[in-house]
Amino acid sequence: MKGSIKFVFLAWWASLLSVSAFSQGRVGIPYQMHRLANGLTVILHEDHTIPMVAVDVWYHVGSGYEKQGRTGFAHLFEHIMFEGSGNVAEGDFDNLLEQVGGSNNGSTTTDRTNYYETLPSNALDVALFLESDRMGYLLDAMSPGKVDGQRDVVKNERRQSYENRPYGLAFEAVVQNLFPTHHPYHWPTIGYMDDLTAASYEDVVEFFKKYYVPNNAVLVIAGDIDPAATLQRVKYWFDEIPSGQAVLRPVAPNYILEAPKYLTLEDNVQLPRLYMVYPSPAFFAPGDAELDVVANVLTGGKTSRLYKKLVYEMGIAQSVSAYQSSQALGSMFMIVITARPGHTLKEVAEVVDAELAALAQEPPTERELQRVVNQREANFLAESQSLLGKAEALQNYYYYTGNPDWANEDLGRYKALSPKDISTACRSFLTEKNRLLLSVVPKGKTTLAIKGE
Amino acid sequence: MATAARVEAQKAARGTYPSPGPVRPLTLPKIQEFRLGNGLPVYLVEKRDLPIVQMTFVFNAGSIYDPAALPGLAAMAADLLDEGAGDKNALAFSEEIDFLGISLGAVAGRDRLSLSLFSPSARLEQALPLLGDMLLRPRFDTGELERKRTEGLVRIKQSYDEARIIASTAFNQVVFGKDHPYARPANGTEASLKSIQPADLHNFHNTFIHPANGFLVIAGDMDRAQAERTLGTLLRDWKAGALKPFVVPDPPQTRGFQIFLIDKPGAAQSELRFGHPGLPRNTPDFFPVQVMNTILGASFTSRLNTNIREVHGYAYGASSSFNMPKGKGAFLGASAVQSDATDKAVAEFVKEFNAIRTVEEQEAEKARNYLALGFPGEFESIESIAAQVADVLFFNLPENYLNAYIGEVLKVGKGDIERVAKAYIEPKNMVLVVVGDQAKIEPGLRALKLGKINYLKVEDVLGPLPK
Repeated sequence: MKGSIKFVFLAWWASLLSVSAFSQGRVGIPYQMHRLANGLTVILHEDHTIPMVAVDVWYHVGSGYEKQGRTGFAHLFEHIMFEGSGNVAEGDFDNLLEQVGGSNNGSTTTDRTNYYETLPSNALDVALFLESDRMGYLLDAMSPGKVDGQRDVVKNERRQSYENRPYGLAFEAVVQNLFPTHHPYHWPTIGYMDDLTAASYEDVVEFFKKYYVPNNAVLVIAGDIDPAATLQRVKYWFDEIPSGQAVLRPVAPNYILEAPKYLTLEDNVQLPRLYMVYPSPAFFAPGDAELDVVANVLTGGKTSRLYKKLVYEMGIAQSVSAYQSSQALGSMFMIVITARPGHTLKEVAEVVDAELAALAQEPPTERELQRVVNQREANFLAESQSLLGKAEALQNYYYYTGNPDWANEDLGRYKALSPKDISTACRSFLTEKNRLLLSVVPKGKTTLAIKGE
Repeated sequence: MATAARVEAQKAARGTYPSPGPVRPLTLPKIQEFRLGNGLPVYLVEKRDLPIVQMTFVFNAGSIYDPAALPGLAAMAADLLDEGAGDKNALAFSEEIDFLGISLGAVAGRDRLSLSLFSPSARLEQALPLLGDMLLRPRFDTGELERKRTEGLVRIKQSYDEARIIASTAFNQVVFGKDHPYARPANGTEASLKSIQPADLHNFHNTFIHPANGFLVIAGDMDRAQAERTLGTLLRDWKAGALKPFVVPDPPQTRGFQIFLIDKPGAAQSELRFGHPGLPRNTPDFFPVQVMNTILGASFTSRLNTNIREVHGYAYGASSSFNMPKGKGAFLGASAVQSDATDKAVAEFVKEFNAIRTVEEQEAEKARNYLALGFPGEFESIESIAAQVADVLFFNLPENYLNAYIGEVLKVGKGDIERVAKAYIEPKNMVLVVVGDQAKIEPGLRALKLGKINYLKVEDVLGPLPK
């Protein structure tokens, strides 16, 4: 426990530029935006806290852009992007990055696919080379063998998160039943085993040509950079890639359920769990912020409405959580309750319904609302430490609002709400007709489930 | 007049991979050391670019000190420290934390208990009294203990569903022995959860949570004067007790290759855990072992991940680690593989445990670089800076450890790597825990002829299923 630590003294923080605007209560991430002739959008943010840089590419394609029969394809394609390109041998994408002290990953959602590296700033060129090479020349290195290989990996990824996990198949059942058959969100992003098996090499080629074009991509670089020099390097590596056809985003009509849906799944679980899911307004649309607040009022902390009632006072639930899962074409508001042994899902649902009714009638307190604002502000500060966090924030705001530096407006959505707005949102969106109830019960215990009358 | 020639965009040179420029130096922050009036050692790293503060208190406390009859005491105490303190009952205390948007909580591991506060500077004045109450005046109200008791029992019940938890728990038991401090159930058993009383918790608090049994690391928007002033007042009445000595015996040697098979009928994947006793954190071979393990199983391009995932597609990932607590920990190789490839995956793992005794110069360089050049990333956030400093202090690492890290890693050579691979990975004296569909996978495992197969039930590992 004793021991002093000696360091080279440097007033290291004093030399830092203001890395994120947080003055007079305004939050933000300063940036520069450029567009190359081929349509690639480039966003740069300077931060010299550590000699590192985050390079983050969003392609505006996700599982919501897929076709029936080829579900899981956007995610499978994401895997293939790491297997080499025209000038990068298979395996060298990761080899090269590790060699320079970098780490990387990617992810796919319904709306977009991201690819990112965090690495020492002296190696920025390496990341730009790798990202431009797979954007421009992936097909030169593509083969049916590579597609087969990643297909097996993805199937195991699916097994690990879905088939071999308690309650693992719930999410897929929810989206299948909540969204209509031809809705872009009707299937899980990971896709189905049969569709993964059917995905062919030709599918990969078609997908790449359609979606992986510079005019459908945004490159964000955040960290220890000189913006002018960095832009030159970006042009050097990316200018040569030809643009493709414009990409249309999928559309889906707003819809509501006319009557509640009931579903039961049996699983290898000890405790029954209820998913109450409501179709809700899209990301940043009116109602989205309100429902974030509703979720916090319901399950944000020990004194929240549902936690306090179900877990703390009555002890009939082991856990409860509510969240507004925001997406481009429409969101899902979910309340998930795991009941304790000896209690049915009907019991917990009654309590939830009573609390929702109360919130629909009687607005929350100013303090409950302010809690959400305070937490969001604190969260913004915490995320501002992370180069990748800031890059992702710029990307996210740009995709969904057209403005990368939208943090202040985002926070403003919450600050502008009054308690009455929250009750109004409950009445508008969280009705007994407009929802799906999925019961996941231990094998043979279907009596614990909630069924329609 | 000549017509303007059509100018083509100059194509980038892609014939050879680009090289990085010269490494930009990492300038590590100064650590200021002082003691509060109550004797608590404080280590402060100022970082003023963002208005946030992280305070991490570390105590010599954890499951290794749990009384034999009360496993889970440390975890329960840590969990209850923020369930009401000072004048505020659990609901009021929690409401204040949530309203401020701060993080404040405690968690107990095996060797240490950490109590952390993360707060915007603007909220610090309101956050500190909560921190002080938690440290000095936790309530341990019977009502909250009852709630946590029930929660803990249900959690044990739920762990029956989770193959990952069953596999990891069984692994610790068979490597260390069920009665070893590192294998005893850190979250308690049905019996112990039912026995814990408020007096046990108050006793725990008096014994472990005091200024002579720990230290504080602060990182962020605070200077020494402010720290001494605010914490000096806040923690003035905090009485020192005795320093808890660390006593954990070495685990027994593993003899032979032994398989422990736990049936999970219908499982789509088998959870695999290979290993044997390993090293303590202060091993003089820390750097060569880190580099060697990176090559074997701690990076995407590691041999295990490449083999099991990329080449064979048996799993989403495979990894290895030397878990290094204060005492001797364990070497672990792990993966979740598709059921019908269990035997093949096991064979590949064993192959890699043997093959790591020889490495290529290129692999060594890549692994060194990955660790050394990526090191600055550990200093991005105040949470991470505080954690780095806390580790150096807790494990009594050399004074200049953080300054020397990069150099020490880059010094590790092919010879060092091969030496530690031979010394610290023993494929012939290893356990393998498998949680999977026994009917499907047993014949294949048997045919490998690796060693005796022992059969365990989930109840043997997790105890009887709580009602």
